[in-house]
Amino acid sequence: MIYGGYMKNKIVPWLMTAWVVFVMAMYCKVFIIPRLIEFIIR
Amino acid sequence: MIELLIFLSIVLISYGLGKTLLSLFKKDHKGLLEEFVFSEVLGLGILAYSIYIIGSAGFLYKEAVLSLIFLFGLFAVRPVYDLVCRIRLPDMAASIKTLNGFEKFLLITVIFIPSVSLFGAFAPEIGNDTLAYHLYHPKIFIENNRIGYIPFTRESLWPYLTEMLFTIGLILKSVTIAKLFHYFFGVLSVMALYSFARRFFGRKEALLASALFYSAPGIFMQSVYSYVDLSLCLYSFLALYIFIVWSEKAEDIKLIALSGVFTGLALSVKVLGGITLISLSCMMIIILFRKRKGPASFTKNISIFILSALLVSCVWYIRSYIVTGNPVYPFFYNVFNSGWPSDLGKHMGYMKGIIGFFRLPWDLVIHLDSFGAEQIGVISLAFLPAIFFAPFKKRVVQLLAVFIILYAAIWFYIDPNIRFAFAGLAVFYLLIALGLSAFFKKYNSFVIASLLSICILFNLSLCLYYNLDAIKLAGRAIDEKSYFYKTERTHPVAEFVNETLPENSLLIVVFEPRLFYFGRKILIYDIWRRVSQGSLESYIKDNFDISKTPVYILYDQSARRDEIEKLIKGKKAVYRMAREGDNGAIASYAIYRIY
Repeated sequence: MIYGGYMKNKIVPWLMTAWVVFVMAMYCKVFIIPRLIEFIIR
Repeated sequence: MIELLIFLSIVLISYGLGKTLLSLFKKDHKGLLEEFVFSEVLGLGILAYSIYIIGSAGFLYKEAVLSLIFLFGLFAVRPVYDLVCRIRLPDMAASIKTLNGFEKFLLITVIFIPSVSLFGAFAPEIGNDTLAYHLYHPKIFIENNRIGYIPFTRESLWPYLTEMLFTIGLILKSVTIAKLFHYFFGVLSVMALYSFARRFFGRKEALLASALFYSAPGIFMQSVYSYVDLSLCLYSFLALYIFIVWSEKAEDIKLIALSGVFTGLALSVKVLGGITLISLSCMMIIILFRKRKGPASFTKNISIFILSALLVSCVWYIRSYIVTGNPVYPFFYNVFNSGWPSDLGKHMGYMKGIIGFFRLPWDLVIHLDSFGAEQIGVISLAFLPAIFFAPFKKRVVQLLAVFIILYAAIWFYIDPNIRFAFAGLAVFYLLIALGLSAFFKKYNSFVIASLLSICILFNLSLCLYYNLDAIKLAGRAIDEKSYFYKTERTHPVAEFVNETLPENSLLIVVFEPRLFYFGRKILIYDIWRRVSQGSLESYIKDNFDISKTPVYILYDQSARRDEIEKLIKGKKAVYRMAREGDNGAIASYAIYRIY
């Protein structure tokens, strides 16, 4: 139980962090980088 | 500066007016902010309807509008005096001192965005729909001294509650005052969200929800244009707010009537206010069923809610029905046989069907171009899992969840354009804020808080970037002409028209919807073509004295029209301009004199 609780306390924040980083990376790929390139070219 | 002072005077007068009326429905307010928001919004509604009444009667003159505002001002003196006496600045300062570092950051966010956006609100208008009708039609109303149907237009019979407020700005010769109204609806939306979250949850949740909602790029970008989506958002959210207060006991008839009034005001802003009406009606059935209310209570509550909503809004739809035979002209052509077949909403959305609906949180952020290109912000997707930590055992949270599902489902089915769903977005961000707050309490994750702060900071930098030209204009780093040249494609051609074409000319405009800056009589060819049978040539000869009226065609050559090609064949353009717009599209105009 103690081990399970410890894992849950550790795993949930890390899962959340991984998801946030993944979405931010995707956002950079589809939104920020293309606009940045366009901005630099123009 | 004088414009800001005039605008603030109108705000205070509306507050006093709204407060007087609100006291008939609701006396127990939880805090000054709640009272202010409800009074202000109700007051703006009364002011807008008053303009509509005098305008429909043909008295749309500056003197009449000023007299009306002055008259309302007399009613507002006492409530405004009471309001000023009740503001306790030392208490507010003491309250701010008790905030922790993260909460102070959220507070700065909520102050930073309206401060930067104010520059955008003070810059000249460049929004597409604004120049096409939100400001263009009030301009024509003022020229005609009457509010009514403008021939060969699609929108002039739509519900125009917010446009009535823009009319006040334009009649005072100030586009800025008109723009400030929509900007202020954005501020009020955030105040309403804060007040709601503060009342039912806590200060941290309220600050977080307000910061997340206001930092969504779609929200702060909309607030600098004279659009109506933030007023739709505000009226819809306040209808939900009062509805949830009513649902605690599901007994107070006055509260459900007030919720109906706000729903009616949402319906007076846009037909899509109907989404709120349907969503809240469904929720009411669920609540009354769960509370085991008898058939009498069932009928009474539902009929009062729907009747008050329809009573407040019906005037727009009846007017449209009388003039065109269609209350929602030009839509639902098949039902009313008036207007034209519309594919509005059909091209919106990335994927249709049930899978498309469940993919919405992803698609709205990653494939935003399919939803009208408005950005709801990366936070809504990145921190979406936080929603699972929201306290769903609480009745209010359950109601918010039901509302967002109903609202999103109807919106997704009708027209999934992001800016039509701002009320749903406010509730969505509130749920994320509640979830994040619970998450931080449980896990105290510094990493997640840091990532959230980075996302908010990114949105703040976007706010600054999008308003950069407006800031430069305010700081006189660029002049108005350069600003226009960079941001508004029609301005040079409108300048030519206004300076060169005779004042009595008729300008037939093909394809270009942005007409606000043109100071000549205009016929919108594409709308005229949809509702007319004969040729353009015979229409002009039948309706205008071409020996006295010079007739010109403004032709955007990116759209070819055979009838126009024939008319201009062999004629030399009196004006020609081609330039690359901001989005890379080529704007190519030519003006021909045909008679």
